[in-house]
Amino acid sequence: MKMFKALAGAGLYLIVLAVLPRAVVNNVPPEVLNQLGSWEGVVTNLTILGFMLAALHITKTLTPKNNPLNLLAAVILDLIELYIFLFFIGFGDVTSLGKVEKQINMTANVKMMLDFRIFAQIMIAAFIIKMIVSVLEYINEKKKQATPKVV
Amino acid sequence: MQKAIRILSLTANLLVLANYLLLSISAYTILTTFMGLTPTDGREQMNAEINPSGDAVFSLKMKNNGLLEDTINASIKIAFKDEVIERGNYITLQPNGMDELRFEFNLTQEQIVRATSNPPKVLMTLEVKTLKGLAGIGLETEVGGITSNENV
Repeated sequence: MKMFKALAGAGLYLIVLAVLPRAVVNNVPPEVLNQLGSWEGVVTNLTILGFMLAALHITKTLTPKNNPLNLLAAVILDLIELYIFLFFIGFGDVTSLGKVEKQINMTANVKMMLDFRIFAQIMIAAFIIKMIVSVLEYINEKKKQATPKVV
Repeated sequence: MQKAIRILSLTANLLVLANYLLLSISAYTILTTFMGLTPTDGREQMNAEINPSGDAVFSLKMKNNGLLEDTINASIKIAFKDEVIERGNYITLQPNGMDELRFEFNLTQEQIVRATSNPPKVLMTLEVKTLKGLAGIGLETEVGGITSNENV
């Protein structure tokens, strides 16, 4: 069951981050892709992150919770997921935290402003809680292991 | 300890889910309102005609096709060489609500002459916000401009 859960989760990461972006890019007209600029780098990065997340998910699911590797995998997994969310919400600029201003050159010059800071803030809070949970689970399992069983 | 972990874990997962849901609904509301903005006179670009008394009106039709209430903040700037005139307006639309934003200018005779001889740049700033102003998209662009009526 654990193995199935690990492989299913890893497969999902690969479909969403490695397969889907490439399928979308292959179906978008070339003139739209030219407007997007350096999309190839973004797709390659997403594919790499997809493989990393898949490997981390397998590690996290298959290692016991009192193993430091499990804690490390859980924390890195959360950090990468948060990075991907902030990357998309900031239109490629992670440090903008959801507030972006972009100059677009079309027939007329257009300045776009996006303000999605509230979602970035909620997501950061949620992932901080997730990381705290991972640490607490690790400490809890370690404590359980250290406590001698009363027969 | 076990109970606290379970509550924290559930809270985090619910926050993530609610965030994705709220983000999707907000983005959908904002984008559909943006797509639905059209100049009232049906032309591709926003223009205003100056009538003999100096009145020039820019207007914009809008419809909220989204699921949340949104607020549209907009302003029009007419930039003469050494003078900028600005009019701002805002409107709140409920889902499926429709309305019109108007920007009324009253130009002096001197400004009419200047606008006729050397058409000024007309810039529009538009912001569509939802979730009580917590999330939004805005743009600043040059619009059609002002033309003078033949009788002026």
